[in-house]
Amino acid sequence: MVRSSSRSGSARRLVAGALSVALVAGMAGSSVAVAQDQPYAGTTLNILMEDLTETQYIADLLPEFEAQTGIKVVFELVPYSNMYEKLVPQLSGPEGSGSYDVVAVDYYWPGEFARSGWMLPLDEWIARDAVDLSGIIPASFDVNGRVDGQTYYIPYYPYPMGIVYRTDLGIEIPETMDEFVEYAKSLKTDEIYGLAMQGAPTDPIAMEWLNFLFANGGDLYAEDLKTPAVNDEIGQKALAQYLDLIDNAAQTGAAGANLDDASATFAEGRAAMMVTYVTIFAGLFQNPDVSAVVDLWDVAPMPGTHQGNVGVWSFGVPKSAKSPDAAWEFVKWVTSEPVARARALKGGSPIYGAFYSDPEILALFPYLSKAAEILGAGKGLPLITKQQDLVATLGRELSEAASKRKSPQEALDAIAAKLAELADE
Amino acid sequence: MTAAQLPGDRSRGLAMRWRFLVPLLVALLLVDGFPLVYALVGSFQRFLLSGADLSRPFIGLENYTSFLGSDAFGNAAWNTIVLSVSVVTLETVIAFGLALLLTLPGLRFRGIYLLILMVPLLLSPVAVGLSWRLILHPDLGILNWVLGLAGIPKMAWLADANLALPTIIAVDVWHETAVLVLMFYAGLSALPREPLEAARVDGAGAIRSLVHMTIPLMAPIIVVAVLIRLVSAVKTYDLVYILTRGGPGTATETLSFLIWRTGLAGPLDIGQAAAGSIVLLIAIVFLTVLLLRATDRIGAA
Repeated sequence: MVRSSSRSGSARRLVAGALSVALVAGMAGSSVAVAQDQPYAGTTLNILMEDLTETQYIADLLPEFEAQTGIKVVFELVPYSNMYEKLVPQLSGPEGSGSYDVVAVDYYWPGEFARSGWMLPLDEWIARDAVDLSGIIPASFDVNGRVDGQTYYIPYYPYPMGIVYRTDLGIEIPETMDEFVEYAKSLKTDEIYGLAMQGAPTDPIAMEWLNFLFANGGDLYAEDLKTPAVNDEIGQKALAQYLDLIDNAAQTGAAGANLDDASATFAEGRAAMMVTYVTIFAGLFQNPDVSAVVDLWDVAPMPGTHQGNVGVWSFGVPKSAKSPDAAWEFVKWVTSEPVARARALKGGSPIYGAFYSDPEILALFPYLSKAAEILGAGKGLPLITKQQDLVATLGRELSEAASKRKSPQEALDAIAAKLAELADE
Repeated sequence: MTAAQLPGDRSRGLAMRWRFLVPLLVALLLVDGFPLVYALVGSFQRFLLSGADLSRPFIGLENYTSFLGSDAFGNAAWNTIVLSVSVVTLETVIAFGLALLLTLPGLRFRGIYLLILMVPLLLSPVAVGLSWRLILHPDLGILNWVLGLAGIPKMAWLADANLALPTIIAVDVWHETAVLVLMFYAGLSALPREPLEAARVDGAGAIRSLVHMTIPLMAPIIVVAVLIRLVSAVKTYDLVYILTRGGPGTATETLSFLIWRTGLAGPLDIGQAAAGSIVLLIAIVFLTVLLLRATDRIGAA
């Protein structure tokens, strides 16, 4: 999901100053002291990363990793929409041939990457090094960690979706989805939109609409994970609600807007609410240079079932990695509790459950206490092999409906046909 | 040129033409031959990039039938035709008009006009696409702001299914017209003066001499320019990728974009994408044959 490329200027500083080194060294205690044992010193790791704040928080901490291990890490920063198409040709190549040593994996890639034989299983390394992963929210391993009983990825940040809304407009999020739709429409005036929406194909609209589906109690598949359920009555209702909002509550051009567009609309103070990733905005909405809503926003779960779409980013080591052992050192380091906490203190989205009740973190980012509920209630995508194909089809067909090129039923039926096909693969 | 000379000239011209082509053919074989054969072989295979079963059995024409038989192909083919015909027509007319103005005798600041006209040509399509995305942004873009001053309501240029393709056509015209201006300007500058002056002395008006003298004299250049531009328009991918990603829905999907998303952005079906590429290649070869025939015919005339 993309998410925000708005920090691209500063994000290109891959090596931050000594300040962050000192900060983490202090927190990590004696971790710097092992500097004499550096079997991978001089190795360079190349990693493709999405250009957004969470990546920047990691980049800021890299000098500590370098000092500890002698391993140099180079981030290649791209917008989200370019990641998959850049990764696939590298991952599908022969062993040791790829450009990337570590892969950041979004929550609808793990099945495809692992089952295509592109990733190294991590269980032996985890056991060998006695890595303690117990603090990481266990459910995140189900979404983007384990595939067919083996651990291929270590989660490093979750992105639960819910509602971000303005606290200075007297907004009260209604109980049901029907009320929410009417409410969002009623909030639209000449000055402000009811809802900043992201209806562009393919990822933005797919991610946004899944919240409508889940909040109405629907799902893509029935419980057997084989029979498509997306085009049942609940799916129809969820799509009708969504289209109503695109036409009558959202900003002009919402059907072509991505996350950056919608976030900019909200940051400018031109929207009352937004259905979006509730934990990634500290760096944007709290930045007075670009935001008119500093301290004027909070987060809430979806109405209805309170279930939102929850994604997880994880790190894995591809078979095509040139330096898999050094790559594992990086994955271990970046997902370790002290480093994860240092990221959380910068405004990151915590993957360790305890951080959501950590007083020091909550004092800085109070919205995280609500985000914990949203995270707990939400759900991800079914772990079929071709999840990317599923999301691409979902986004394209929903966009056909949003732009009135297909009736909602035709679009849902086309999605269901694809789901049936993908369930068999 | 007498009738007796003609056949010999033509056959010698033909032989020369092939001889000139030899270095190019060798280079093409090396650089393009291998990928082309690989794609051709792949187009007859079940060739998936991901999944548990990555074997590549031959499946006959299945990739072709499923690519050509899909609704997505019909839609993309139609979009490609609309886009190509529109941009080539608009760009040719606009470019010819601009080139005529640029060759007006006694025109001042000709160099400055040429420089300004060349600017879009110097920009990469990606930079053009990104700039226009900002200009066309419904809320923050300058275009809607300017229109708003005249009381015109905000338009969702890239999000409205009826506006998106025309908008891409307009951006393409902005970007690509300069190429044709250059070709026409060069052609017009090289036209023989005598016939045009003779026409003027005989009392032909500007329009008459344009229609009866300038355009026929320019015909070879116009035909070549149109066909070169047509071949590149049929392959349009970058502007679509940057501006709309084929959306809204599939309203702006071109054949190249469809091939890309089949191969690299969804099903990772390289076999079907290869079949699509071969189909597109055949279409382009057909256009190129037209180009060669047309230049031959005009050369003969």
